Amino acid sequence: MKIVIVGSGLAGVTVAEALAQSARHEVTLVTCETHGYYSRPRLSHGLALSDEAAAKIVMKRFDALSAGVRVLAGTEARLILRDNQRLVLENGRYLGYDVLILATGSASRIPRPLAAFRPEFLILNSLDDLLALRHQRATARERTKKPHWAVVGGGLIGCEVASDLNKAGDSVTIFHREARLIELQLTEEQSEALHEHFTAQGVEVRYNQDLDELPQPYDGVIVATGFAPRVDLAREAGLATARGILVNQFLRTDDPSIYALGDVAEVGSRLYPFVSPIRSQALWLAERLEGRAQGAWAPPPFTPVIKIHDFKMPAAAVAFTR
Amino acid sequence: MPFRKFTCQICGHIYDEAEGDPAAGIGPGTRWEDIPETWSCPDCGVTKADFSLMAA
Repeated sequence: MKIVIVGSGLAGVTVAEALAQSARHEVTLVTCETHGYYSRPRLSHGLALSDEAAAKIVMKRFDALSAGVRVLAGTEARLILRDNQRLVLENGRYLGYDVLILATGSASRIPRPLAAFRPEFLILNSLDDLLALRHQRATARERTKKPHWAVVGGGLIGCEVASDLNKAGDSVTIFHREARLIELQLTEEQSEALHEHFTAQGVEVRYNQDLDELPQPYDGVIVATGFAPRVDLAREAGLATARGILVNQFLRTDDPSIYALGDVAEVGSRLYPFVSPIRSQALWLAERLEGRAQGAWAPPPFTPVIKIHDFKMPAAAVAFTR
Repeated sequence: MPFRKFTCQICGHIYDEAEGDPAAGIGPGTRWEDIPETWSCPDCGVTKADFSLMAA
């Protein structure tokens, strides 16, 4: 079969490499990324790293993926022509497919009032974003020993970034819209424990901050206010979408030759934006396409990883509501 | 036996026996074999089985 995959994050690369194993398919992976394959969860702790360690975030260059996976890097997929089973690329070329797998991931979700201020603030969604952040930090440190950052968003990524900047020796103030930290994944007790940890470490947290402009003056503002699945390609092709691309328990969209997985896939009205379930989806889908998977995909038991330096999350039922 | 390092094949995180994983209650010097199977990668959450020994 001709299998075309869009996206080179954990979802796209894992399914591509699994499908290449049998050498029975022609596997092509299309991606906007140019650096290679890396794990996005590591980005939020990529600030305190040395330059040498940061350079190792890329785990595999694209030419080091399994033989049998053809990669079109730095290439945007523009349009799905479903009637002809073709994926049109930015250069006007197209790829024919028997099976199309959408693993387009997610972008940063920016509150509407703040979007107008781009590029005066930074985000952390890709390795390029991390490199831009590291560059701004290096520049700030030429002016001041201890740069002061505003982190807008006290959810999972905002708190991880704040923790990492604090670990690196910088000052951090978190502006959170809600009344407690990481309210989507933590219990009230856990949020409270994290607040106390941050206070002890010198990280300032301001609650109930629904900002309509950037806080200032700071050496840098980082906006980490959630993620938005990249559904445009699917929606413009007329596939059913809600917050993500709607798929059934077989990860199939409402077009029988198009599948979706990873951050972008909405399975039974839920998203699974974490490593364990995404890896499980990718391996399951490869088995399914090889005709070996029995039954539907079911999420494995998993706990979201929340990385805060020098802090052990008190054990409690994790309120995972996203 | 010298301390070894293990790397997560999913995200690249390195477990160094010399350092352990104190945040998870795994003290410095804890050998790979002595880490409970319930332990998971502190960066991405996958299990011990997804780690491999790094060449010295």
